Amino acid sequence: MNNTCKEYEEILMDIYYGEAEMSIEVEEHLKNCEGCMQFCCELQEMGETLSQPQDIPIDYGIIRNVMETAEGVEAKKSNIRELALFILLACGLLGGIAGLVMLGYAKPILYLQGILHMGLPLTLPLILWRRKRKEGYNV
Amino acid sequence: MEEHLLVKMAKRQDKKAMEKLLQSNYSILKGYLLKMTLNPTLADDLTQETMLKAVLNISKYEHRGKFSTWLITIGTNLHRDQLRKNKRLVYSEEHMELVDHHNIEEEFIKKIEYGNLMKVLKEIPEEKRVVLILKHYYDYSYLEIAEILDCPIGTIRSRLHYAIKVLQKTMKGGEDIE
Ligand SMILES: [Zn+2]
Repeated sequence: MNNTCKEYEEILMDIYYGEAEMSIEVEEHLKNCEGCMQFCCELQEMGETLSQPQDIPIDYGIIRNVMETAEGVEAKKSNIRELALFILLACGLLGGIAGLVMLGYAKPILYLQGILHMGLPLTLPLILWRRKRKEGYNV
Repeated sequence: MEEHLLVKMAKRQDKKAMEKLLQSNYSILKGYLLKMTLNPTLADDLTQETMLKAVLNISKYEHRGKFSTWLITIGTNLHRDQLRKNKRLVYSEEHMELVDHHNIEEEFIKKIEYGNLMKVLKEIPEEKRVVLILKHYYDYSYLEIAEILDCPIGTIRSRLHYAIKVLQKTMKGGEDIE
């Protein structure tokens, strides 16, 4: 096989797979070259061998499994995100309190905490009374 | 329903749409991985892994080309990673893994109806086989294959040509490739 034929074979492979178009020049060469004509037939034959039917049924079980696994992974990710957010907020809050303490507001903070802890339970009867009025049943 | 609509819905966390997308692309993906690995168990595992990665990363999917192209790109990368891992395993376990893998492959080829086709494909080196499969079975252009495999177009073209030559040689019964 000469070099020209090698080049034509390359072009023929591109033409076979739609990457190049058949030109008059190639057609002329094919008419006069038995080797390249043979190569064309072999390409056709190869294509037929490759194109034997292959039936692949859908495995719905695998797809369901994938969806369930993905849901699990997403849930885990969301838990981690929530935990990170909680840690961030808690650190911020503690940092804020520590900052106020450093600025000399320790006493008022303690008083505020005391009031909150003692005062809030005292408002319970009021809350219950308001609810009773609103919903109209005996608590 | 059209694919791009399903993709849009899946991106908005619509599980049913995602499931439909996977169902309609299952055979394409599995067929591709089966021809790539020549091993049904491995193809099953890779199919599952590829689909899981697709579900988890659907928000990153850009509507360029077909959805199956994206799946095939993920599958190709996962297969490549696995080959790399297996090579390391083989090296450390004194070729035991390679022998096992080879046996499974042979068994599969003997079993299936289209064994002849698989036997022929097996003769082509992996990086050339992938190009032939994408070209012949999925009709991707050189440009698309170059994008999927992250390779220059010239390399894709010469790999396809090489694969064709190997195939023809195998079909003729083993003459030298020129
Ligand atoms: Zn010629």
